[in-house]
Amino acid sequence: MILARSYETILIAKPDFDGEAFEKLHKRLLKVIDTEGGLELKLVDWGRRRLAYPIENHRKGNYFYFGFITNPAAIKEMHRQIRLSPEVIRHQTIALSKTLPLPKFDIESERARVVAMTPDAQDEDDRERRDRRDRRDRRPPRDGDRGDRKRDSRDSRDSRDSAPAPEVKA
Amino acid sequence: MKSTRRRRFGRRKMCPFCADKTMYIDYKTPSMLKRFISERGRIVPRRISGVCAPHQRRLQEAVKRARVVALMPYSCAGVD
Repeated sequence: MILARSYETILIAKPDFDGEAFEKLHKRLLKVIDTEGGLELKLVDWGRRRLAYPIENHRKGNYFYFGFITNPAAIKEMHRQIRLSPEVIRHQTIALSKTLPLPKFDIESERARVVAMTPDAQDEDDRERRDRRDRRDRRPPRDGDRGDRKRDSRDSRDSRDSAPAPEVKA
Repeated sequence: MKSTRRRRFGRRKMCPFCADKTMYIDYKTPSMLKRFISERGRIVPRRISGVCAPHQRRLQEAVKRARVVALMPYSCAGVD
């Protein structure tokens, strides 16, 4: 009897890469799932998004979201396959369920779970806009990181902001 | 002596996740997680955001996962 878990993987590919190359990787991953037992739940192309920080000097990435059920042992091989693809710059797999015998999975509810949790489409525009705005007025943040603690007047960050700058008299 | 003049001793803010059961902590929704990180990208402590302990733990996990896949920044210090 095959024990299995449901997983979701996020793959970030280089921004300048076409879906065709991803098809190949996708097929390879499906093959692994096939041999180890399991099935694909959902494949979503999140499209090009701005990365929160550059990865391998790329500021944008092509995101792919892949939900599936498989044997935990298959994950290792899948990661190997992913690492063999130079166009993937980052990947992360999260286990969504406990380990169960494969026939015990309610495929539909697993699928619903995977589909229900997708990123807001709004976000890409959001990021784009914020990015531009940031460039326009890049001010240092007013407060330090730790909100409402009592201020230490000697705090250098503070004195820069609030106290009138000690202009040199000379 | 519940709501006194000094906010510091006033009642804590309610945990936003307990208040709104439909809010789901998921690392794939950076727009929601954004509320709980500082301008510099650090996770806001519970004592400030008012999140309850169980939810803060899940929130922390979610932010860290989101960071791995570049949905959230590790830090926003200076150069971007």
